[in-house]
Amino acid sequence: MILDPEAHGRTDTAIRALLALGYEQVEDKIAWQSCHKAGPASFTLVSSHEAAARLLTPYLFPATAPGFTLYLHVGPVPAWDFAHTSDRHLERLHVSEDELLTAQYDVGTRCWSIWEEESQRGLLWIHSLEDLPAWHQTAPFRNLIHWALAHTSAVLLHAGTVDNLLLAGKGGSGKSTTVAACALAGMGTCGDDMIAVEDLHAYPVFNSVKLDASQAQRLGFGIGLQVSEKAAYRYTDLGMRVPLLAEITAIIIPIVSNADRCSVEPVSAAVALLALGPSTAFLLRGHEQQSLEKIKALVRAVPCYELKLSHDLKDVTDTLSFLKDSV
Amino acid sequence: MQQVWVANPAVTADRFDGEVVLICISTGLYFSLRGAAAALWAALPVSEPDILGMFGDLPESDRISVQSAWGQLKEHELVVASDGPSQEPAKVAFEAPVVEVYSDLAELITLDPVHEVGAKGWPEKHDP
Repeated sequence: MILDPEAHGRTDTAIRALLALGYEQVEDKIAWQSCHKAGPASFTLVSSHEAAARLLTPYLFPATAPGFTLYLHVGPVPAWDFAHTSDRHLERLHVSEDELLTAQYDVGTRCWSIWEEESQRGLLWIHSLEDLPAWHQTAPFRNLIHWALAHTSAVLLHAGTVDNLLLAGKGGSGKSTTVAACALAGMGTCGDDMIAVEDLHAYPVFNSVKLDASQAQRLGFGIGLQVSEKAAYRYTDLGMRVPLLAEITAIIIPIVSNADRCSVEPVSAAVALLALGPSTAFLLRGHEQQSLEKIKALVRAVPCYELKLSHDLKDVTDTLSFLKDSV
Repeated sequence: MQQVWVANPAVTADRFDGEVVLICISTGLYFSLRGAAAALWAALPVSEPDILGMFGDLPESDRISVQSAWGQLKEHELVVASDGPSQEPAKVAFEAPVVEVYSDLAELITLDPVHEVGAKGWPEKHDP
């Protein structure tokens, strides 16, 4: 809710000035350009800081089309210092009244993400690489990609896929282990945590799977990049198959259980919305209504099932293999 | 003028058969309404005195359950008072109300830990 539209507009102007300053700093000294996939879209990354670009691009997929443009700048960051004109400012999130300008300032990492819809350009301005949490490496430019897709028919989702099945559920629901086990068994995946969806097709965004130590050991993985309490791996390094896109024919909601055998039950679209909507909307901030509208359409379009996972990974992969061919 | 209750515009709602799913973007809470609780949502905008009448004559225990469900909608600010017109709710068959409140993802929403909004506006800096 915007409390004072006039003052809110002045913040738009200040953020656009910040954006222009960031662009200028990058364009004065371009040290890096590369093209990457953002689900069904693509983007060109331009940076004045080669080390930052080298840190943030390994978990992205290469692309050939230039698409939208993201600027990456490293240097002293102007702090958030605006009038409180929106309840979203409590999250340091600013969305212009026309929703064409979106910006967030991360207090902990002193990092700005700004997206300008009209120019199809965005900026990630980092104070220093040392301040950057590891998740930025495995899901780089996450907010900017989310905002860039928000005005299209695509949506970035907190979900994974196994072939034609979309796996939905909050953290700890078993998505990552299920995806990794199925991918090791030869099934394709667009991701275990973040994927893009457009017109009932899933697209990969990040080339990363994150597992806790015990699950990684169980699957026979080596040492990965430490991200919080998990280790991250690249699908392509593990020889896993990542399709360009995958048609979604069902939504599966995995639930960790200690059963000997997996069990599958049909559930309502409401249950699927509860599994997919809040975890996406609360994680990917800004333009949540657009995300939720696309999620509502998705859960109404395909059948939804709850999958109680057994402790036997072979049984899990066999069950998913059966489901992908029968739904 | 009688007070009218409407859906909080900050809450996104969707109806699936007999279930209503509500997601509150700002608080990180989400809800499932079923039975009479879903019927109450469908009746919005509504004035409070009309609520019980929409289910016909109810035994005392069922009246209490409807009032309790309505109280939860108000407590979580899923409905807010308004000056607009109300609609007379259609009569519906009573089914026991269910209001499920989910708070397991609220921690995903991180508010600025250092600053708080003060009377002078933003920001009012506090020692961390």
